[in-house]
Amino acid sequence: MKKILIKTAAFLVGIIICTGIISAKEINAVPKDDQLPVNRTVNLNGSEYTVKTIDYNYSNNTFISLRDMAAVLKDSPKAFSLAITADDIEITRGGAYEAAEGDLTGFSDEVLAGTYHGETIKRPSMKIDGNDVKYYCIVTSLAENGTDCYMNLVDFSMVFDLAFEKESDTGYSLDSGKSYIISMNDIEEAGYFNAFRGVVVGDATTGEIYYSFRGDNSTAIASTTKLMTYLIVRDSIESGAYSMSDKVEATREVRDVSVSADGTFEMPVGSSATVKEMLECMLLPSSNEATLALALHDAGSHEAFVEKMNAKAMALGLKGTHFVNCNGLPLYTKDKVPAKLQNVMTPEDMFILASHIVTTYPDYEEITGKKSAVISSYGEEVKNINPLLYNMPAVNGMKTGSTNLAGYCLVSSMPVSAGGMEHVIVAAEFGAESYEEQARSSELLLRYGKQQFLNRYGDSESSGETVDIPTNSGALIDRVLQFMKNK
Amino acid sequence: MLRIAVIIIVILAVCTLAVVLLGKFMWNNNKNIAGSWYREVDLTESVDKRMCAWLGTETVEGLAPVKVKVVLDIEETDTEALYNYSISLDEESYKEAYDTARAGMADEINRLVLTKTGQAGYNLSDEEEAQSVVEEALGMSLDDYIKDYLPALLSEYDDLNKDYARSGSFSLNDSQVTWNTDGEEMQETWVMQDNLLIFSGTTDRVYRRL
Repeated sequence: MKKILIKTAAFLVGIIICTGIISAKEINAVPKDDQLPVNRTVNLNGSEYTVKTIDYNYSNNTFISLRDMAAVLKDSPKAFSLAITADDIEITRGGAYEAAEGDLTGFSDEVLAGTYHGETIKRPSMKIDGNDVKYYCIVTSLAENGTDCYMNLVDFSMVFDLAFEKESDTGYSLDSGKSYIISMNDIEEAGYFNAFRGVVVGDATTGEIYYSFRGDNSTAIASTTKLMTYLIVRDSIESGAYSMSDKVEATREVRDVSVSADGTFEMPVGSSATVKEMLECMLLPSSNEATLALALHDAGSHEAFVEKMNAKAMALGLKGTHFVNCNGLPLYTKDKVPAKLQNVMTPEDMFILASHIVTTYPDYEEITGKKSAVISSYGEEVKNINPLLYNMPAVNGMKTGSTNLAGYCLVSSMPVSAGGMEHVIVAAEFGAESYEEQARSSELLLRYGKQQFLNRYGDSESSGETVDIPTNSGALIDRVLQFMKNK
Repeated sequence: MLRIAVIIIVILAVCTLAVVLLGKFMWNNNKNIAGSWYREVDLTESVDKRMCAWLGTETVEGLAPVKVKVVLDIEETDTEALYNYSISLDEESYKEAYDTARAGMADEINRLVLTKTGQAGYNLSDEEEAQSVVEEALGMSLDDYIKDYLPALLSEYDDLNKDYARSGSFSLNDSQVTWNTDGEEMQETWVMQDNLLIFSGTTDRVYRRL
């Protein structure tokens, strides 16, 4: 009897323990991504459609179904063809789309009521008009119509030049005849740039700044530092100190960086590559070892090169700038309690530096505009990590950067032309929270820069803006400049 | 003995009379308090902030002081030391303050246009030319543009007046004034010297005779 009681008690305890473990797992279960399916309405030119959207992690961080939007727009001037598999997405703007079963039916009640743990947001293999692009999307088989791709609503607006007007929490209206006009004042008032350390966009050819937010805030700049390194090297080449085809040797210091966590590929001691190849390594994959090699080749020592960088900054009038190294990595001092230093600039200083490079060495884009380069001296192919080279084919530079302190930074350039004028727009952002925001904010800035350029040198049709009384200082200046250009 | 007592009484009477007279004529002479008084309120900082918000700058240069007058009218009553009063924002001074604010904003806009057109390669000679270009581009005077299309640099007169306007009665007792406004009493100290009337309570207000 006693044995039976003991066995029964042990069995019951086991059941209780197992139930507790299972319950704990359920209570503590954290979805890989928090994705909330939401049915939204889109009113296109007076016709209403139900469109599937996913709010990613937070409400209003909305990703929209490409299948549903292809069906909505199929008979409009903004139609696009769409082919989606689990591995590839192909979009052709202006192409035809045949609506499939399940398009525009919304998520089922079962999906809306259930707990959805979706696929991780990622950059799928995606082509738009035959060009590879790098947008963060959610590719999922959530609904009944098979694989679908959900694109961030702001990215979608920019890609398809469509302005979504929010009518309610779950409703938008669209006018397919209207362009997506970017208003920096609206974006700033909504607080979009509050999380950034600073942004700026302007015409590098004239030096005019179109918009800046925290533009005089001195902030860590990470690898965008390498633009100053590039300038010093170009100045030295210009003065005849050496040439693009000269060999640059990897010292022990360079080799040590190349095999560290901050290295791109190994450069053994005594190995070498041309100055041009080193510049390609520096500017495309942001090689810290190639940068150091160039600095040592140029000035003999790292300290001497950094002195040249700071002297150049002073000569250019970059008042909020200070360099401690050539490549933008954090640097610890030799004090008892070492300080962690980083190169700093203000966004407006960076605009001046980038504009100087654009106007002094316009062939900079021969390197920065490449998506990849073969470094024959090392038998390596290096890739350009600037996402805008993919998302905006007109973009031809310039440099990315990221450290924990600096966040994700990007200095970008894009040639524009109108009215016989050919200028270059430069945008710089510092402190984006993610790669996604680095790309999106820069694209917004460059598109805004192009709008402003067209306002000044194009006609109102090409700029897409309607003319009315300016209600902010930026719009007033735009109006005056346009008036003077037309006078 | 009697003569000494009379002398002492006369001296005391004269002293008392002197004190009373001094109290009436040299310190708070209640009879002179009636009339119109004013004090200035400086709104420059608030205008500065509104200008900076629109211009997108942190400071503005050379904004002239923007001040309004708050007027206190005092009437005697039939009861000694009891007066009726009313306080309001002087409308004329409000208009002048608004003109000053708009002129300051126009100067800042002209400076901004001069700078930005210079950066774009246009060489305007001075702020006067900048203003002329702005007015041609807008198709209206700069003053009208500021009045009709910019956020208000000052609150509307009626809204601002609400901060100051009140009326009622007050009584004086030596250096103490007891205000009676809409049935509520409040006490402060007061003093009148030369042409200044000073009230001290939660805030100090210095009025000058109008």
